[in-house]
Amino acid sequence: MSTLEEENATVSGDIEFRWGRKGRVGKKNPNIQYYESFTYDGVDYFLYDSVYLWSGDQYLPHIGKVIKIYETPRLKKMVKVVWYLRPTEVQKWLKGDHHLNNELLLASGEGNGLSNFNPLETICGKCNVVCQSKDERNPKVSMEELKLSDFVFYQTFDVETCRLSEKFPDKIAGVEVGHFFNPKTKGNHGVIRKSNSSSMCDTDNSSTIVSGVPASSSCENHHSMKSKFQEFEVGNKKSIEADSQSIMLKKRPKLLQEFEVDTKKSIEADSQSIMLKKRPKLDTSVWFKKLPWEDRIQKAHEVGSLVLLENLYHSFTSSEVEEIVLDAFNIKVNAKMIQWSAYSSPHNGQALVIFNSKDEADYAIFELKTRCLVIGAARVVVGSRPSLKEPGNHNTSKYFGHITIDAIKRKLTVEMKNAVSTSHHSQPNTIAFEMAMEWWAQQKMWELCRDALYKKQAEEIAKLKGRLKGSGKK
Amino acid sequence: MEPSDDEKYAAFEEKVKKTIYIDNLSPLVTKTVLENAIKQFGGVNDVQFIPNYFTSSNTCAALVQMQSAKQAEEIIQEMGDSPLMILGMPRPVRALKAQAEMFEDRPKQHKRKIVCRWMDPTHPNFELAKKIKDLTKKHAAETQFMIEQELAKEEKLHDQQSETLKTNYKKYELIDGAQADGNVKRLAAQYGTVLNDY
Repeated sequence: MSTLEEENATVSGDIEFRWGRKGRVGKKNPNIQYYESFTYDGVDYFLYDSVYLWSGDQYLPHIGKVIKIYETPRLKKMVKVVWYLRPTEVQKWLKGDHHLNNELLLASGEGNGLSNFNPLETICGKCNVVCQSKDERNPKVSMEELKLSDFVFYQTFDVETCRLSEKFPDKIAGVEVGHFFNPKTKGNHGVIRKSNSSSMCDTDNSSTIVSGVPASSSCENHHSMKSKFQEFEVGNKKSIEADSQSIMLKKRPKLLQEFEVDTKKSIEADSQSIMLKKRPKLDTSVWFKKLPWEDRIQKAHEVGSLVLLENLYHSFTSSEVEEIVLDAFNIKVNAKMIQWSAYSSPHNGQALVIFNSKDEADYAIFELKTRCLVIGAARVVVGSRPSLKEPGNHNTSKYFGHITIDAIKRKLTVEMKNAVSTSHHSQPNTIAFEMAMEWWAQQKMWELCRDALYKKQAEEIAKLKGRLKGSGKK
Repeated sequence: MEPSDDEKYAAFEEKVKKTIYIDNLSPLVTKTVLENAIKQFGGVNDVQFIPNYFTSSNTCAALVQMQSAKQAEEIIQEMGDSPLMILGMPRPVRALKAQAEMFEDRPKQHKRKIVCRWMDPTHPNFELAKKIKDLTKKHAAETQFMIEQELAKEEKLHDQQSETLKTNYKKYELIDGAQADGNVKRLAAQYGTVLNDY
């Protein structure tokens, strides 16, 4: 992973920034001042916090653990982060291991990809990462903490040997491994921490710690949600600076409310439920307003990450399709149900799904081919690569039915040409009316043909469904 | 206060009732053109085009939201009785009642739980499931074929009507021309018939 480039070098005057506790000065270069905490846009960050970092053209933000915070002699604010890798990022070396939806891998070892120095301004929020390693040095987490967490990890990925391991070395990137494990609780019941901060943060940040029994956890959740809102603000403003193309979040107000509802649900939700998982709490893919669908679909089609799902229920919404994909493949995607038109089959609900890469799309199609994804009682999902209409041919594709007489056309004056909106109700005694009737007759005939076809198809489907149900399926 | 899911859905259903689905539109029709065309029937709230990603048909469709459900119904009736042509003649547009699935963004229909599960090849019903998949593909191909046939017929009709119109026009031009340069008069005189109108 390369160092994240920041498009504009300085923090804009809009975003509030304050240094927190000072640390030591650099050993080799005493002009470098280390810090142990800082406040960025209203959120307090501490050494050893897990944070989101954004790199402008990436789909998802990176997640890293801050292990150094400092300011250079030229007053540039920097952080050193050790990366948490997403399983999809290192899929090549994982060879088909199954990973949880919100699982991360802690980078370890030496070499490229372990850590990077980045401008502080690339940080766009705090992240709650919980360690589930059985290592004896790692304090166990409670169920509440687990439910509140954004991500979990229990394995390391050695960037040198490219291997997974459940063993944690004594030091990672020169830092004691204890800082990577869960923070040691200070004997308070129901302490619900928002981040893996070290014990230094206690006195400074009152919003993250609550001592007391879980009964008060609901008010604590409120607190943590508030800070998360602020994180969104940070991410939001970052986007203005970062990339001239990325557009301001329009959906933000809605997101905040959704988020509130989501968090509450996830706390009450039964962890054993086989029903559809609720969306992960921090829906990072909605942070930035995306390009309109037309462009995204074209782009995805070129890259090869566009998949067409068929045989869905027509009444699905796009977000339900996204949830299904999340549930079935553990991949976050963007989906759009194809809008029903008079030419759509009533039996076949279709959706276009944009995966994050061609590999993911291949994987999904392969899985759908070899195994069977069944929705509800008997809808088996079919996945394929769609062949899209060429864009831009829109205006030149032949539309049948509008006839003009060239001779008359030549006589059109300029004013007539500029006239907007021509619509015409035909009188029965014109040629146009007769011709319109011919078109109508054709339309009607095709409607009848389609109805007959769909009826026949319905019968075929019902037959198979009956057999499936009859043989003891739920 | 966020409206509940049910309320959101009820509001959405209201919207659906007020909306007309229009298709057989030429791809050159823009929002303004369509709005102006429908304005003569009643107030238009909103016009939304339905994107067409892969069916090979080249007509466009749109959802036009009127101010009341009654208006929408009336318009659908009227458009069924006499042909309305937009931006060109003579192909008339078709108006139908809008349906929920035609809309781009719909609210979720009350807490519905979607259960989906994977079926491995070892499952006893796997073969059946596979058959269902194949059937879906077959149906999709059939539908596609029908659309292509329809398109071919449309082209035929278009060419046919074009021809008819051209010959008709030529005929009229001929007559006009003959009248203009006095040939008709001379012919009438020659045959001794009386000309009406001229």
